[in-house]
Order: sequence, then structure tokens, then C-alpha cells
Amino acid sequence: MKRILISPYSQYLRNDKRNPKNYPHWAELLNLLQDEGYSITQIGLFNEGALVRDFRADLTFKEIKRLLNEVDLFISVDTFLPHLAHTLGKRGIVIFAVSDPNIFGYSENINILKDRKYLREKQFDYWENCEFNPESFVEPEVVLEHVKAFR
Amino acid sequence: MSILCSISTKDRYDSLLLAVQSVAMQTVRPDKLVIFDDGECKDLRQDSNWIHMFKLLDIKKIKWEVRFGNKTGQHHNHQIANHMGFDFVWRLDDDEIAEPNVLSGLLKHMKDGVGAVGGAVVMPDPQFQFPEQGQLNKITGIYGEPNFQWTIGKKVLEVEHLYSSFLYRGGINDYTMELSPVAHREETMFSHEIYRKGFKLIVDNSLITWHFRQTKGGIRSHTDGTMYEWDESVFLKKMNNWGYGVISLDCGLGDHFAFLNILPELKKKYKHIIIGACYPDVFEGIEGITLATIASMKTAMPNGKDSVYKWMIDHNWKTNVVDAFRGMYL
Repeated sequence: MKRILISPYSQYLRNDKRNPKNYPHWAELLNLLQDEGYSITQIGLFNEGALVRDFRADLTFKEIKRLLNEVDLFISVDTFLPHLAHTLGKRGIVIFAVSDPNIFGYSENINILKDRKYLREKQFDYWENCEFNPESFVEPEVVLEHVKAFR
Repeated sequence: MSILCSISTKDRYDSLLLAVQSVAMQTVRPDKLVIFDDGECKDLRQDSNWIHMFKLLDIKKIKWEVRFGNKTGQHHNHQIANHMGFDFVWRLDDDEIAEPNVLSGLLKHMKDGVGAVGGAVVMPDPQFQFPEQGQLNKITGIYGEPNFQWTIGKKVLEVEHLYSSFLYRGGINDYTMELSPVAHREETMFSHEIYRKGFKLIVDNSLITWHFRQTKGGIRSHTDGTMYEWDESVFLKKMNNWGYGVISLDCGLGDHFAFLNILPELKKKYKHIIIGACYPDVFEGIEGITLATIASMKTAMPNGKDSVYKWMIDHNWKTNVVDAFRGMYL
């Protein structure tokens, strides 16, 4: 049984708008993964809420590093986790939408991008200036196929 | 042994009078007092208070001279004093009042191998006096750590840079002349270079100079912010040449981890790295670095010069953020 660490959310925005990097299909994806028998551990901030039973909130970076070393892969949106994992040489799957994986991704990971047409024009602008677009993300089945194929 | 007291002034004739009085009242007096006037350049010999003050200096056998500065900043004035041929130069600001034992106390520490000695330089206000806690005046703590000279106590400390008023050996080092008229960090660079030449720098915080920090006038009373920026860039270049990498990470958490990838290369380039971080926890347990607050680092790199995003925009960046950090700092 493969063990997966997920980091579902990117940072809160100062204008309270939904972060355009946040994947809208986590619930469906997690159902699919659990149906396939994967063991899921979620990390995040306490107030983000649990998507799975094994939710580890407000961990230190040291604790996250330890967890990363224990799991087979991570699945994350474009947030801090892929950057941290890269420093450990840990591979995973990153779900992109409007940020460019050529800039914010790492080649060792599976960087899933639905279509470059959804990339925001100003890649380095404040996220508060970017609208959330659910169309910009791949369906959960696509992610599941990548997880299954992950070596 | 000859001692020169040097005061650079600009439009502070009232507090300057108090500063000069404190020089006259020293238990060990300097041989000469030189005042560099970068301001209005009044003829003080026409002022009743100054008439008496100059007479008092004569009685105390302190030669005195008022020079009209060229208004290019106090570092130019200090440099002249530095090379006036005196064994020691005691620099005092125009709004500072030294207790009568200061010069004698500073001299006691001026033994062979000592390049400069400073005392406490504090405001006469408890709110601006710091407890002796952890201040070491290492150059790596220059961004944000409180200065040991802002404390009053009974401690003598070997330091790596001095602040404001101190006594130094004349002619052993030059001031940094490329600074703007603000001369921001001039004493830090001057004193640290004395240290780098192998001399000891000493602070005895029982020797108190009261710093009025007057709001009006003053040798640094320039409103052009670009002068501070220029001086910070001069200082930053010096820091780099001395082997200190100075990094300011005004960016997101992920970018902090991305930056970690170039740290080994930076450590090869610099003997020590100073990092201003929004997320200092990222650097927990990493040796060979000093952490500073991002706010303190903003003075070193104003106007987004520390922003990797701005750097990427300016360079029309299309590839990895790690390489952007590499381009920025290596």
C-alpha cells in the first residue's frame, strides 16, 4: 500500500478571495485514492480543516521533513511543500493551474498542468490580483492516473 | 602623546555649545579642538556665549579652530581630522555631551594593539537605553541587533565596529570617501576597517556620552532618500568584499525553501551569510548564517531590490525560481 502525503491548500489571501492555486476537486480525488487503497496523510494549518482522518495540523518544518521521508510520494498544489521536498530530494505530484511549472516546478516531479492557456499573464504578480478559475484544473481522474503510474 | 577632538556640525549651534563645554570639562583634556561647520557657517566669535566658551578653551589650554566645511558630509571632515598629525582623534557629535571622565577612560584602554575605543552613547531618556543583553557588536549583527554602545553598565567588550563617538589612532585608516553627504554608516565602515587591519576595538560602557539626538539640524540632516540608498549600497559592497553575503528574502515560504538550494554555493562564495527572512524557521539548525528580521534588511535593500519576483520581472524570467536566486546572488 502506497502512503501519500497531501498539502491541499496554498496560502490565505489578504482580500479573502479563494486562492487561484487551490485545487477544487480534493474531495473527489481523495475518494478515488482511498478506493484504490492508498493511505493518505494531510498536512496544513488547523483552521484549514481535515479532508482525511489522518490530518496533522500546524507541524514544524522538521516534522514535515520527517513525514516526507516516511511516505512514498506527496501530492500538492503549487505551495511550499514541493520546494521543501526538493531540498530533500523527495519526488511527488504537483497540481498546477495558473502558475507556470517551468518557473515554480521541479523537473523531478510530475507537474500536472491542464493547459498553458490558463497560465496567468503576470506570473509574479500578487495572488490577490488573480481570479480563481475551476476550469483551469485537471479532473481528479487525471491525477489518479498519474498516482498509479508514479514510480 | 597628542589628542585632537573633532566635531562635525551643521546648524546646531546650541547643542554644539554644550558639546564643546563637555570637551572643556574633561579631566584629561585634548590638545586641540577642531569644529567643522557644514551649515550656516556663523562667525561664532560674535556670539556672547561663544566668546566666553572660546576664552574658556584658552584657559583650559585647548587650542581650538573652526573650519568651514565644504558641505560634502562629515566623512570629509573626519578624514581631515584623521590626518592632522595627532596620535589620537576623539570624534564627538554636535549633539553629544561627554561626561568629564570619558576621554581619560577611553585613553586608559588605548594600549598597544588597540585601534579605537568607544563608550556608551545613549539618549538621556530611559526609553532609549537598552539592557546589556546579547549585544556583541559583531559586524554580522549590524542589520538589526542593538548596539552595545546603547547600553550603560560596567562592561568592557572587544567589538568589531563602533558607533558615533569614539577615540581612535590617527592616520591608521581612511574614511570611505565615496559616501553621500549623509555619510550613513561611515563610522561602522571606518571602525570595522581598523578592526580588519588587526587592531582591537574596545567598548567600555561605563564611559557615558549623552546623545541628545536633536531633531533639528545635524550633519546628516538631508532629506534626499537616495543618499541613504547610495550609502547602503556602498556598505553592502564592502560587506561582500569582507566576505559577508547579505541576503534579504522578502518572498513567500516556498521561495525560502527554493533559496535553500543555492545556500551551499553561497557558502563557498562568502565566509558568512546574513539572511533577512520572513520565515526564519526555514533556516533552523543551519550553521554559518546569521538571521536578521526582514524589516531591518529593508534598509539595506530598499525599493524591492531584495525581491526575487521583481528580479524575475526585470529579467523577463521564464525558468526555475532556484536559478533566479542563483542569478540574483551568485
